[in-house]
Amino acid sequence: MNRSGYNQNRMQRPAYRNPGCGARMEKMQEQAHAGCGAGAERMKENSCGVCGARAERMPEHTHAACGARTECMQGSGCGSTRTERMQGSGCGGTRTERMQDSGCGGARAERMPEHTHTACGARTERASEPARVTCDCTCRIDLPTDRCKLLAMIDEVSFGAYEALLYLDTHPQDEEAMRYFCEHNEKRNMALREYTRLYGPLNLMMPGSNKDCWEWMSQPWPWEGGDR
Amino acid sequence: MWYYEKRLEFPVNIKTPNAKIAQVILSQYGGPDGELGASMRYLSQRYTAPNRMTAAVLTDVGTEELAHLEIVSTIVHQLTRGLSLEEIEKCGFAPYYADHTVGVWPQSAGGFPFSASEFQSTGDPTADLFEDLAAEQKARLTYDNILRLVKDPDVAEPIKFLRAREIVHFQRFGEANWEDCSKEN
Repeated sequence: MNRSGYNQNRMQRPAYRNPGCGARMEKMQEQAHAGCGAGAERMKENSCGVCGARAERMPEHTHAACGARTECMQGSGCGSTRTERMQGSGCGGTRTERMQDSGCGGARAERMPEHTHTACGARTERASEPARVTCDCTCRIDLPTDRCKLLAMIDEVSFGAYEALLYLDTHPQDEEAMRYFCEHNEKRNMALREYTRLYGPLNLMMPGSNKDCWEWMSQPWPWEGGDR
Repeated sequence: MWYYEKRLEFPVNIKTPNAKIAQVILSQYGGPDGELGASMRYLSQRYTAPNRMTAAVLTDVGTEELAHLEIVSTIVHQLTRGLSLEEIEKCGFAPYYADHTVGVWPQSAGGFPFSASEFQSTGDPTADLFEDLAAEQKARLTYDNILRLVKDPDVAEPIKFLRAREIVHFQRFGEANWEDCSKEN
C-alpha cells in the first residue's frame, strides 16, 4: 500500500477516534509500530541525515548523539534487571516512590508505559553515571580593566559556560564537557566580580554589589548599546 | 525563578536606524516562529516532560530563548531609535507608528499580533518534542530570510548568532527526543 493509503488506514482506526486512556495507549503503540514501517523509514532517514549532512557541520556532537542513542537502546530493558540497577545505584525505594508520585507511574504509566519505563531506565542510568570532575580550576585569567573589554570577556566566558550546560543536559557523562563548563563558569565568576568592583553590578546577586548606594538602575541597560 | 543579568547574550550596537528592516525583524519578536513563542513553548512544555533530560533541555533552552527575545527586541529598538517622521513615512512604518510610536510590541512582520496559538503544549512528549524540532528549523529559516534582506553588519552579526543557536537547540532537542523514543526502536 502506498504511503498515503497507509496513513489513511491508520487514521480510520478506532484507536485514533477514542480519546480515552486505552485509545491513547494504542496510539502510542501504533506510533511505535509505525516506527517499524513508514515512520521507521523516516526515523532512520533522519538519523542518517544526522550522520550525513549534519555530521559535516558538527561531527562531534553527532557522534556523541549516536553513542548516547546506542547506550539508551541497549540499556532500556524494563524487567527485573532494571529494578536491580535502580536499587544498586542508591536510588531504590524513595526514588521509585517519588517517580510514581510525580506522574511517572500511576495513571500516567497506564497510558504510556513505554515512555515511563524509558524515562525511569534512563534516569537511573544517568543517576549512576554523570561525570565526576574535581573542579579545582586554577586557571589564570587576565582581566582587562576597560569596561567594554571586560564586558566582552564576560559575554564570551558566559556563552562558553551556557553552551556547555546545554550540551551536558544531554551528555551528562562527558568529563571533558564538565571540565569545560567548570573552567568557563569559574572565569565568568571572576570576571563578574571584577566588573562589580570596578563598574557596579551586572547581576544583583553578585556579592559586594550595592553596598553603599543603589547602583543597579544607574548602570547602563543592555539595549542602550553605545560604547560596545 | 529567574534573575536578570544586565547584559545581552550577544552585544547589539546599531549605528544606522532603519525602520524597514525593523519591521522584518519584529517578526522574530512576536511572529509565528519568533522568540516569544519559542520561550513560552518550551517553558510551558516542561511540566509534562517524560524524563529528567528533557525537562532540563526544555528549561535551559527556554531560558536561552528569553535572552534571544531580548536581543531581538534590542535590535528593533535600536533600528527605530531617533527616526524622523519623514523616515518613518518613507519606510512604510507609519501604520505601526500610529499604534505604538516606536515602542516594541510583539507582532509578525505582516502586522498580526502575537498569539499563543503559534505554539502547543500537548502533554504528549512525542508530539511536543517533534514540534520543538520543527520550531527550531522554522526559526532558523526565518533568520536565513532576514539575512538575505539585511545588509548592515551591525544587524547581521547578532542575527547570525541567533541563527546558529537554533541549530544547536535543534541538536539538543533531537538528543532528548532519542532519549524519549529509543525504547520503541
